[in-house]
Amino acid sequence: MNTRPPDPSPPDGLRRAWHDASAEVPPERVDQAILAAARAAVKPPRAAPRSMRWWSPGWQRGLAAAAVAGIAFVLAQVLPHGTESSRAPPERAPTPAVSGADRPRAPSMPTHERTPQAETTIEAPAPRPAGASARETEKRAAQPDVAPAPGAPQESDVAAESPEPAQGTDLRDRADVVAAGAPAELPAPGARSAAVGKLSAESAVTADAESRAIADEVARVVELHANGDLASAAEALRQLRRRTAHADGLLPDSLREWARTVR
Amino acid sequence: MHGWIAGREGRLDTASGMPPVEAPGAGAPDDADLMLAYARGEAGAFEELYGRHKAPTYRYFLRHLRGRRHEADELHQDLWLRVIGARERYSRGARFTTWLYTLARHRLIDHWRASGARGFASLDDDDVRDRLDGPRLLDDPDPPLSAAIDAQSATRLRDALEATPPLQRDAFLLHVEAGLSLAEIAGLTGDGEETVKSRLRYAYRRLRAALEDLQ
Repeated sequence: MNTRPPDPSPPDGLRRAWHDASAEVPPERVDQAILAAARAAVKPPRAAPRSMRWWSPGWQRGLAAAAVAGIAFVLAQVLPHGTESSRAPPERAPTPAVSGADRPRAPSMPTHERTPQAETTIEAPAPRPAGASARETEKRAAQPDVAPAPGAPQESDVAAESPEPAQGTDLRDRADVVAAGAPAELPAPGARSAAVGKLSAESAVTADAESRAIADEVARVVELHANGDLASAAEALRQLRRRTAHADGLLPDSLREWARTVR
Repeated sequence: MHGWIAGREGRLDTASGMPPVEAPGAGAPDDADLMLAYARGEAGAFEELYGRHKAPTYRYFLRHLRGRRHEADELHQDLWLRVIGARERYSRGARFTTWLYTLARHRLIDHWRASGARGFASLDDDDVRDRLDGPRLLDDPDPPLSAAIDAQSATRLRDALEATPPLQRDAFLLHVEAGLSLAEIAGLTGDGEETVKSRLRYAYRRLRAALEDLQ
């Protein structure tokens, strides 16, 4: 007799009945969550996209563009500006002394840039010293053909900082006004590029010569009138008027009444 | 054969009373192969493995939790996430089903502990056996039951199992749902085979009694 109890096994019917009674399955969302987690767990790590790597071509292009922009900005700030107004005022000789070498100057024209051949027969007005008298100025203007001695002390350029004519009949002041009033060839204030600066230098030379010529014309008109040659003085005035619209304003006050009679 | 493990021949060998070794279909990889393949990065292997075992593991939790589906969903998902996380630690030395239900049982115990339930420590096995079954448990063979079962019977059957003490219920589920042998159940629970056997018989008796009442 086998006293050992048999291995327990469910009765035949019980197993089948149990399977019929217990048929539940997990919900679909649970299945999906588990399967998604399983896939994610073995998914290879995603390599950083090429565009995200700082050494990638995309980043290089951006860096290059930024570098170019930065360099351009720096150059724009560093390069010398070309406007008259932005330039440092030229050197000024602290002298009121007037010599035959005085000539009208463009505001931006440094002393050393003057050319001897620009000297004309008519003495250009001296710089605007404090207290210079009109009589002294006319005296200078009456001196013909006084070429400046090389190396002679030149009147420093006095920038025509004010377009307003000086008091009295100082032809030098008129020249300064002319210089200030000849903006056409000067670069506009505020120009910043080096190219504009270069143009400014060139136009400054031109303006200086022009102002000197105008000053010579004015002086000629004054001389002719003083000599009583009113016809020649009138013709000279007309030439001056063709040269500049401010011709009458450049004349001394004593000649303005007469100038109004000249057509 | 309703949804337990696709491709398996059956749960029990009625002649020996021992559950069959996992017998996948011809050419189909066994559970250990699938788990190792998944550990190597083959996500499809996991899907196959999950499809084989998702229903019995879910019912294992559901029956222990007395039909509370929300908790069963949570524990079921936690179990398989642990399987996913432990994929690289799995070795062929342990049968996959044994390893799987070891994790499931541990998860269940953790849940009971967190909820303050008594869990498997509710009843002493010897007290239950002597009080409810007596000497009949050891010798009398169980007569066959009628195969027919309706919804009412299914409900009572489930209720009967859920009313079974946790250790007996656990033995029944590991044997009938998971297909583990007595030796595997004993190794998993840390108990002797005789103890597991007693628990099984007790569970069978209770379920049989529930069915007989309906017949």
